Amino acid sequence: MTCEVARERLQEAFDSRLAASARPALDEHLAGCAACRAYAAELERLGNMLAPLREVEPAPSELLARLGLEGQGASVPSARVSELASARRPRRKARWAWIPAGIAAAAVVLAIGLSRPLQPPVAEVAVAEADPAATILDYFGPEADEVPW
Amino acid sequence: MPASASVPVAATPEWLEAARAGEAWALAALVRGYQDSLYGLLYRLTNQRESALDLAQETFVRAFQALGSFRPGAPLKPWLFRIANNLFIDHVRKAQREVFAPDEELGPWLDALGGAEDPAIAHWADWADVEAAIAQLPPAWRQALVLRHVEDMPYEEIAEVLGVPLGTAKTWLFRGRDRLRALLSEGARP
Repeated sequence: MTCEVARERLQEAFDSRLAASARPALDEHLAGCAACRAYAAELERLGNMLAPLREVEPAPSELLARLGLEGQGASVPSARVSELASARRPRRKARWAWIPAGIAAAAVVLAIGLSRPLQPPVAEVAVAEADPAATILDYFGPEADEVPW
Repeated sequence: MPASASVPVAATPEWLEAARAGEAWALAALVRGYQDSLYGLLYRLTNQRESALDLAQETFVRAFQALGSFRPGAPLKPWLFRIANNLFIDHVRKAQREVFAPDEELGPWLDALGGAEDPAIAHWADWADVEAAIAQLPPAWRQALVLRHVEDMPYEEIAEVLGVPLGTAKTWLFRGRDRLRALLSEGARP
């Protein structure tokens, strides 16, 4: 297994999407590759750093007013609105249980807290005239899936 | 207004009929149900409150206009998020503010994934650095990363929202993470 493939498998493992059949080969590679073990540790650290992304401020109250809908739907049960509006999938933690103990011990995860509260910081909207639910391929053609525009 | 006016998760025939007829309570239910997640997504993509608000507003306007072709019973979230992501594409293209990474620039660091030693990550960053780094990602990679880490979407749903094959969605997400990792190692904030 090359390092490039190993790192793709590590990303899948991070997302809890690694096929069980792929684990033995990945374990074997990690046992002999310090760089990929370091990559695994950095990936987990990155995941922890990105955790605050889920803590997003609610939409500004002016959005409904902008749409001319302020005050509408007031009879919608607020509990139901809150439930559905805030419903998210259970948070998944990276599962590293299968990593050999030595590698796990070497994986140092820094706990990095928020240095400042999340605040909405500052722009124009050009609107496509095409079908709003069109896919990216409709915009950029078949090569779009290879080029990050 | 129906006695049980609840926020639609899927486009039930009853809600869809009312929304298509322009009944305010039905349209408001859609907005109330999805405005937070939609605004959150757009804020993470643009890192700008006003742009996120403008795009969220336009997303709902477009959604209202497209209800005529929407399939009853289908889930609303992927459909709404696809509209939002397409509008974000327009926003980026027209604004031309983002730093794009042409393929030829990706070569060296892509090669580095093949087995070279990882750079030492001396100090990883506070939250402002993370936000700045995300803003520097190529838009496609940023979308995939935000959908995964903000909305906890699985690969398949990311692919559906972005309208690309599953493999492409995964590639964008993985490259986005690798680029983010590299930016944070170097110190992303200008």
